[in-house]
Amino acid sequence: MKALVVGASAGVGRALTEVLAKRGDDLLIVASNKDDLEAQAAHLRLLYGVHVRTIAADASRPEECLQSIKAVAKVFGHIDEMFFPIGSSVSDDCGTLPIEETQQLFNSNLIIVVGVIQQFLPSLTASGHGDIVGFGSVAAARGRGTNIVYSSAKRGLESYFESLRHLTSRTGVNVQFYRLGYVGTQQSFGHRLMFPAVTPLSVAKVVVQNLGINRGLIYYPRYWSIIVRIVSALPWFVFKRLDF
Amino acid sequence: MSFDGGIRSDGLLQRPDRYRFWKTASVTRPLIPRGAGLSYAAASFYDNGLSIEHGSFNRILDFDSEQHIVEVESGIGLSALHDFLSLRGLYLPIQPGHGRITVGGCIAADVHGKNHARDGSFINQVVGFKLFHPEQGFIEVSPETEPALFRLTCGGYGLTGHILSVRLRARLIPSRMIEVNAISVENVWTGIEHLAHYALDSDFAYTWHDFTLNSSRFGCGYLFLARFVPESEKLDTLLTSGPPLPPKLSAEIRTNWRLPLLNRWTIRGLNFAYRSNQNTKGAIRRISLYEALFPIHKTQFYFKLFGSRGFHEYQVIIPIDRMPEYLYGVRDFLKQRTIAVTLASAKLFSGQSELLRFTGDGACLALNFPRTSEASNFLTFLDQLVISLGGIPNIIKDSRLPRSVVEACYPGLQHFRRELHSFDPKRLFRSELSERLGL
Repeated sequence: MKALVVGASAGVGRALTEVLAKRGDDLLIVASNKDDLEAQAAHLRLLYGVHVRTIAADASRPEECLQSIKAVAKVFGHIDEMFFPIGSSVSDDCGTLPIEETQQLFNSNLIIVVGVIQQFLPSLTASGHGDIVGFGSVAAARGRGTNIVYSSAKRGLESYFESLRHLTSRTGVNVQFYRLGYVGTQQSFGHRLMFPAVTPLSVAKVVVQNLGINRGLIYYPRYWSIIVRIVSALPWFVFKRLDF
Repeated sequence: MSFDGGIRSDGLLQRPDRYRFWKTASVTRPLIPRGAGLSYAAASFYDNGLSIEHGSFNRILDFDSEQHIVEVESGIGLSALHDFLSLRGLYLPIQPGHGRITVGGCIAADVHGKNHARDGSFINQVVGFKLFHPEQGFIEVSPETEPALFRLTCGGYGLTGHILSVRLRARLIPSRMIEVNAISVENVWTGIEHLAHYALDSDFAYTWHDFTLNSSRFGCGYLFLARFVPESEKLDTLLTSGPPLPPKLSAEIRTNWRLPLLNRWTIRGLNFAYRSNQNTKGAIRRISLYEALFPIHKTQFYFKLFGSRGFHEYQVIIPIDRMPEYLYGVRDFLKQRTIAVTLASAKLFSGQSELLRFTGDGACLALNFPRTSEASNFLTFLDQLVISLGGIPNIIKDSRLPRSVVEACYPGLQHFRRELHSFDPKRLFRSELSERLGL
C-alpha cells in the first residue's frame, strides 16, 4: 500500500506515519518544515524499512504546495490512501483577523485538502479502491466566539467530506471524517482542558484500525458525540452565556 | 520536583515538537533543557525558569552498521534505543538502570553503567552531537572539532545548551543472555574487596549490602558478577526482547503513594526477604540483557515506598585504600541513630576526575535513606567524611549537596565555571543545581 499524509511533521500526522509504516505502507509525507520531515522519514526508513518520500511545502500557499505534491507523486506511484491530519490555528482568531491571515487559515485547513483530493480522486476512483480520511475538531460543532475562522474552515471541510462520501459511494473509495476531541498535541499543551486529552498515537491506531469501515463521521474519543449532541441541543439563550 | 522529593519549584515547561522551535524561540527567562525529568537533583528546572522538554525529539536519524554508530535525537529513551540496537545485534554498554532516561540526560550527567572500571562513563560512547545555543547557534561538537565544548557538555548538566542529536558508538552483543553469579559476602569490607578484585573480569559488577546488621556482619550481602554467556536457542527466544514500553516513572508518579513505609523495622524485613529471595534463586542464574540493563523496571515501586517526603541518595567515590575508614565511619554513626539505610550498593570506578564529571579511582558506594530530620545530620556527617578522605560525591544524585562540599571535592570546579562563562557569557542556561553550586 502507498499512503499520502498531509500534515505529517507532528501530532496525529506524525503518529499516523508511524502506525502506517509499522504495517508496511510506503509513504509520501507532506509538511512545511524540511528538517521535521527528514527526521521522521529517516526514522521510519530505519525502523520499518519502508520507502518514504518527503515534500516540504507551505499549505497556506495551496497552489505551490499542490504542484510540489504532484511532482513527487509522479515518481512515488499510485496512491491508495490519503490522510489529512493538517490543521492550523492562531490564538487571536477572535473576529478581527486580517484578510491575509484569514486566507491562510482557510488555505491550510480547507483549500489544500480539497485541492489534493481533487487532484488524486480520478486515479483513486479508477482503481476501484482506496481510503480518504479527513480530520476536523469538536470545536467546529457549534460556532463560538473563539477560533472563529478555524472552526468555519473545519466545518467547511466536514461538509466537503460529506459530499465526497456521497460522490464516491459507488466507486469502492471509502471516505471517513474524524471529529477529534482533545488530543495531546502542541495546541493543547499547557491548557486547562475540561476532559482528558488522548495521545496522537491512540488516534492514529484507531484511524488505521477503522480503515475500510463504512462510517462517514467518527468521533474520537467516542464520548464526544454525546457532548456535541448536548452542546448542539442547548437553547441559544443558554449557549450564548457559555464561556468555553 | 526533583526525583528525590527534595526540591520543588514553580517554573514554565515547554514541549516543542518541531525543529522550527529552535529557530524562532526567544529568550525571556533562564532556560534549561529537560529529558525524562528523572534526575535526583534539580538539574532540569529552576524557579521562574523555562524548562524545555525534549521528549518529542525521540527519533533514530541514522545508522552505520559497519561502524556501529547510531545517530538519534536527544529525547529518545534508552529502552527505545536498545530495542533498535538489539535487533541489529548491538547495545550500549554504558547506561543507567531505567529505560525512560533519555540520551540527552545521560550526556548531561555523564552517567555511568554497570561496570565503570572497565567501560568508563557515557562520554566514552559519544562520537559527537549537535548543540543549539540561542546566542551561538547550531554547533557540531565532537572530540575532534570542539574538544573543550565536548568535555564541557558531557557532564555539563545541560548548561551549555540544547543537545539536539547525538552520535553514539554501540558495541556488539556477545550474547543476549547474562549469567549472574551472586556471591554471598559476610560484610561490606569483604564485599568491596572482592569487587575490586573481580570487577574487571566481568561485564557487569556491583554489590548489595544490608546496613541494618551490626558488628562484624555490617553490610553482609552479595557481590553480583555478570557475564555474557553463549545462548541456547530456547532461552534466546524467551529472553531477547523486553516489554514494548518501559513502565512510566516520574517524580509525580513516585509521590502518588503518600505514606512512607520504609523505616528501621520494615527495612530489616525487606532486607531479610531480599536475602531469602537470593538464596531461593540460587547463586547462578540467567537473565536477559534487557533485564540486566534496566533492573529498575521491576523494582521501581521501591521509590514509592518512601512516600511523598521522598528520600536521599548519597553516592560517593572513595579511594579503595580509604574505603575502610569511610565504612567504619558510616557504621559507627548509624549505630547511635535510627536512620534506615534502605539500599547500599557499590561499584568499582576507574578514571581521572575532570571538570564536574563524576569519575575517579576507587569504589563508588550509593546509600539510600528516607528524608527525615535525622537524615540531615547524617548527610552533614557524610559530607565531612568524604572531604576528609578525598572522595567525590555525585552531584546528580543529591539535590541538597552544598556548594562548599563540591568546591572541596571537585578540583575542576573553577575550570568548569571559567569554561562555561567563556562559552556563554550571558549564562542563559540555569537550573536550581547550577545556582546552588554557583555555576
